Amino acid sequence: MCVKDGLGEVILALEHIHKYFHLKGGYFSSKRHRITAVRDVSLSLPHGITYGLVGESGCGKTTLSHITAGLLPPDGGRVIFCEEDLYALGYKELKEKRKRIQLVFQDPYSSLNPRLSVGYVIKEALRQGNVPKEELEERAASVLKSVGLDPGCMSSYPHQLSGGQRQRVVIARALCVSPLVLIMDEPVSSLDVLIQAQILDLLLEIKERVQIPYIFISHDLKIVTYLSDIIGVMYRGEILEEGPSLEVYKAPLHPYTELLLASVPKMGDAKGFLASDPTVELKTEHESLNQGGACPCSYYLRCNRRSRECLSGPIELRSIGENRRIRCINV
Amino acid sequence: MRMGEGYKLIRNDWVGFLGLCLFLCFLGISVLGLLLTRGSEPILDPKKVRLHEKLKPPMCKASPETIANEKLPFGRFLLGTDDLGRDVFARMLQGAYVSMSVGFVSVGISVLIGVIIGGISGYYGDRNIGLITFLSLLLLIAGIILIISSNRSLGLLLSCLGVISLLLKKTRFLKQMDRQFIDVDSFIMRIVDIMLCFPSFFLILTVVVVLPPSIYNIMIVIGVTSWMGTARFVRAEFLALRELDFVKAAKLLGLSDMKIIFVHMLPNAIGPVLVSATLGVASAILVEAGLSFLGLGVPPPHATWGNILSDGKNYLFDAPWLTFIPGFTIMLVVLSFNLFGEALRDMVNPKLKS
Amino acid sequence: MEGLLKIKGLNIGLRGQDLGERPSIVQDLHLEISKAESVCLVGESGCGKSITALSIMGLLPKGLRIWSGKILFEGMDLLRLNEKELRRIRGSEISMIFQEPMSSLNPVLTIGQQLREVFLAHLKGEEPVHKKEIEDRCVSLLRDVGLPHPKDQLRAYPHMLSGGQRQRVMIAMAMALNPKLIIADEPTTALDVTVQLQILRLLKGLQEGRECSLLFITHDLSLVPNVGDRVYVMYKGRIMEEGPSREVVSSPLHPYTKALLSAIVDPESPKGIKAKALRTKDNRSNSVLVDKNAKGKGQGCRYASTCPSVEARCRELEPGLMVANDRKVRCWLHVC
Repeated sequence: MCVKDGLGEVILALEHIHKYFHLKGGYFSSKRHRITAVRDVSLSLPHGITYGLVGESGCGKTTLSHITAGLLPPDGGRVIFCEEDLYALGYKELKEKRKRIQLVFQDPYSSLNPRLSVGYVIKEALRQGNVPKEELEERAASVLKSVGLDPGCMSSYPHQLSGGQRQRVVIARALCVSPLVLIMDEPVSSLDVLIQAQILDLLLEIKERVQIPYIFISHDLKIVTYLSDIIGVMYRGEILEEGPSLEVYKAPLHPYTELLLASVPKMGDAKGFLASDPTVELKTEHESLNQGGACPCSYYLRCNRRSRECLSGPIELRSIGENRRIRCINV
Repeated sequence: MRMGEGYKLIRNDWVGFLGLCLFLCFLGISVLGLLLTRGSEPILDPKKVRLHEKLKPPMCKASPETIANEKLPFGRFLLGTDDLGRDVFARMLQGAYVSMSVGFVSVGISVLIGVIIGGISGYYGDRNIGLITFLSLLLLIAGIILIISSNRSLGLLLSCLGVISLLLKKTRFLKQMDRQFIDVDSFIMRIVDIMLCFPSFFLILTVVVVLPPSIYNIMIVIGVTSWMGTARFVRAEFLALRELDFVKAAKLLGLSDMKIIFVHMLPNAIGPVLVSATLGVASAILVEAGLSFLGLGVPPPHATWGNILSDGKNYLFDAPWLTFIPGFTIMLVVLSFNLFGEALRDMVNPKLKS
Repeated sequence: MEGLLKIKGLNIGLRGQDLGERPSIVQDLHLEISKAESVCLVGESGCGKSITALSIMGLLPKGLRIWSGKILFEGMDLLRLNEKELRRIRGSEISMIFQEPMSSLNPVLTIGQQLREVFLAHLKGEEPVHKKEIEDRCVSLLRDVGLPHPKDQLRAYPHMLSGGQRQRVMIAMAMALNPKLIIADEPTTALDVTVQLQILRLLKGLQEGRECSLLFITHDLSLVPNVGDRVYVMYKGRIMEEGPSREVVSSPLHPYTKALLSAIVDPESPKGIKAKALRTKDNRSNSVLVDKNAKGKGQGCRYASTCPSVEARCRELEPGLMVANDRKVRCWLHVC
């Protein structure tokens, strides 16, 4: 069991995680392609901290979230949860431990079984959280209220609820087993702007109430910065920059972070937004998509600061200052 | 809530509703038929031979001596008589029960086997079977087949070898050789492919000839040789469902595999299975009719729609009703099952793709 | 600037709906786009903006019906045209870009084949078409939208391209015949932020370069000042506010516009405060999105149930569109 004492105690740590996917090439050839989904990712999550992971689609953040939650064994590295290596445990113990890391998925439509009512889903989750039978009804009502839903919706089916309501149900389900860590994989990306704001507000409120660390994943830098304490910028399976969220937002160091920042639509400076063009060269984007990790720096081909030295050898994540890390030699 | 929605849906879809009504009618008729024609003194006697009344067309009046001896509805033979003077109406009623039960039971068996095998293949598909496990399973299966085909001693030997090696698989000696060989999904699918290689009707024929003729054997045989389609459907649905978020969420909650399969995945995968099952009922009735046509079905004098058809083939021009009436009835039953099956699919699989 | 497209009094409802009720999808819509102007239509999902766009193109889905209204394109009422005339206009005078780049392109045809289709459909019978000439035009189109190696891309299939690249192909297809109006229905919603920037830049550049008009539909108000000259804010089938985008965004009049603006997350503001201001009384109001079955009874303002500044008269009578300078707003709070 994990003891929650004092800040600074690391509850979840990823050490040098690698994950590859194998593709078959061509019709009859048995030659196999290897795609590197996650390359040497290490991060640690202290108590009470929200870690935000930003990156484009395809950068490996969903894979990383599944590995962290215990659903997908990595090909290298360890996931240390409560000081135990998650994937070294036997199947039964893994199942028990996994309950304490909950995952909220992106798509509110496929996250709920269309044949089961909301009440059934919540009560089933509560039963898994070892709530005695007599208290089920009451606890279900209170959990639903705590995410802002009317307990009367227990008899509804998912197709009768809107996207925002479904997402609330999913969050409620995750909270039923009293998790120690909550991973959220793009929970608001498919929702409308107003509902997004409500769900973000809900997440903040839950964070204050329950005091558990979050890992918040999104491709929208604004939202991640708003919600997290530490940001990690991910690109093609690697973490390129890491640091306290506002610092990274106001003063990004890595060229990719600068690109992400420039892509945030600015209300005040319209002409400037569309004219600014820090890095993108379309030709190289096309090429870099087909590369498959041959360069030591995965961002090399799109970078506006690239130089000869970037190709010389593997680039490590080095620390700059007290709490920032960066993977670039041109800073 | 679900059934209420389903009821409304069927009311709007009158074709499916019609199918459902017909289906229920036939169910009723088969039960009624069983009651009316069984026992030694049944109300409507399918066995009674009246040679003086043979080959009478439908709705013809019975001769006075027949009316004197027994009671006939309206004093007529409602659907005529066959070449032995037996009442076709009574025989059809008796046959209804057989045909419907063959349809249901065999489909029930095939769906059961198909769901289990397809479910295992779809859910556990990427687990690997070790070499030793594979070989011992092969030995076991070979042994069982040999036992069934009366080669007892060799069969017993092989199956014992298989069982022993399965039990000893965990020991140090064999564990090293038990490396990953083939995954569960491929293994099961190859078995399905092997089963599919046999033309099913011939497979049924072979088994029916070997086993003693009885209605139960036929049901089991049809069931055991037609589960492959269902297995493939279930496997396909499971492969897709496995990647959906709610299944991953259920795993994260720590639910047991059995619970995930039966409570979460199966109700969502059942759509195509239901449709295939209703079509399967129709096809099972036809298979039984075919077997009876060839003389390999339920033994006489018990009537089935198939053997009424079969007997009628000799009198196709003299007494066409002997062939048309059972043929038309089979067509009606198949049609009603088809219509109902389609409505059922719409009713049962609504909002998975929302 | 002369008017290119004028929508007047458009009413769209469900087929079979009672004519005595309010049309449930779009009510009394007025919209104007001038030549070489870029207009944004903003609203949540389900508010009817996509339906409006589809009705301009004559592609309304089967269950919906246009009750009344006119859509005047260069003076011609599009709703009175027959299918043949509409087909002539679609693609060559008005073209559309859809939201989902994954499903807008036919997966079994190459990019080149799909581009060629656009030309062939409209040039047939007019002049003998040379294969080489069409191919050259396709290549130059792909180059204009910024696809690398255009000659090779002609032989590529959609699944070989990324989402952003597919959207570029869509834009190329839309631009092929130099239309006068391009309707873009949430073209960047499904794309990443970095790709969104590129696509927006491309759209704006092409629009300004070729002097065509753009109707940009989105749910994200933060894109509006960057893309549009004017903006229409739509809620549940009604235009709630209208005006030059810069002004609407900097000083919004309607409570709904204000709510949309404050929903835009600003990382540098203190956490929680901004969002709490939005939290509505009860979250059953979320069900407005699935409540399409609710009959259009009731006479009040559509936004009354969620509006933080709601008054009694808001529930009784729906306000009309009030005009003030070049801005219009539909709210009782702004009636003088």
